[in-house]
Amino acid sequence: MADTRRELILARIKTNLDSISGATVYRSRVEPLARGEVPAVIVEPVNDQPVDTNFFNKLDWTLRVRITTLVRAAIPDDDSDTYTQQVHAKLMADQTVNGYALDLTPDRTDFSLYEADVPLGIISQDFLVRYRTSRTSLTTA
Amino acid sequence: MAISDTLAFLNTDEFGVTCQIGAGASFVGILDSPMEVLAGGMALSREYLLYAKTSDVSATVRGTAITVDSVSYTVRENRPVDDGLFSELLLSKV
Repeated sequence: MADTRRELILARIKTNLDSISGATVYRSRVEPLARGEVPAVIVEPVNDQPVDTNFFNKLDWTLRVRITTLVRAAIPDDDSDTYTQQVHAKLMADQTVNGYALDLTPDRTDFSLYEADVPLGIISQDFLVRYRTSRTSLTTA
Repeated sequence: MAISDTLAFLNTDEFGVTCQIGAGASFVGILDSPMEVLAGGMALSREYLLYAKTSDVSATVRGTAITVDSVSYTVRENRPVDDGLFSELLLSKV
């Protein structure tokens, strides 16, 4: 069975981020990351909302994708800056996500800092990806 | 805990290890290193907890360098335990 447009978009975003220097990029990693496994960047979907369009046989979707950067440093938010700016630059350099999307827009960024052996920072950047599918099939535009 | 029991508790023939703060005198402590899950399961942190007599570690504060069993750490927190005879040092591995 062919991949949905959503899956193609997520896979392409992961590919676009794979070249981030200094961090390992994971797709939807659910296992906890140990100190030696960071810096790390995780790509995961959050939700995907359809709306009707002016075309009776099409749906426009808004896919929220979360890019989460994990770092361990004395000032984690400072340390994460080099990775979050790479995430932004690499995603905004391909705003149609290889032609699968209508556009891609940055949304909110959240910072969570935790006490640990070495302080932990988790910075999540949400992006909204608008794309179109057939009303009857998620695999065709 | 009775004071007479403390040296038996801190014994390198048992679970005790040799510790040193800077270039100071060596003393015996017990190091625990439990793994903790943080941020709702997103990350793991190995905690380093050193138990020692308060009289041996009372001078330590955040940032103090300490060697435990020939491994270097810095102190994050110094917390007296129970009646204060012992203290628990929360460490970061250097």
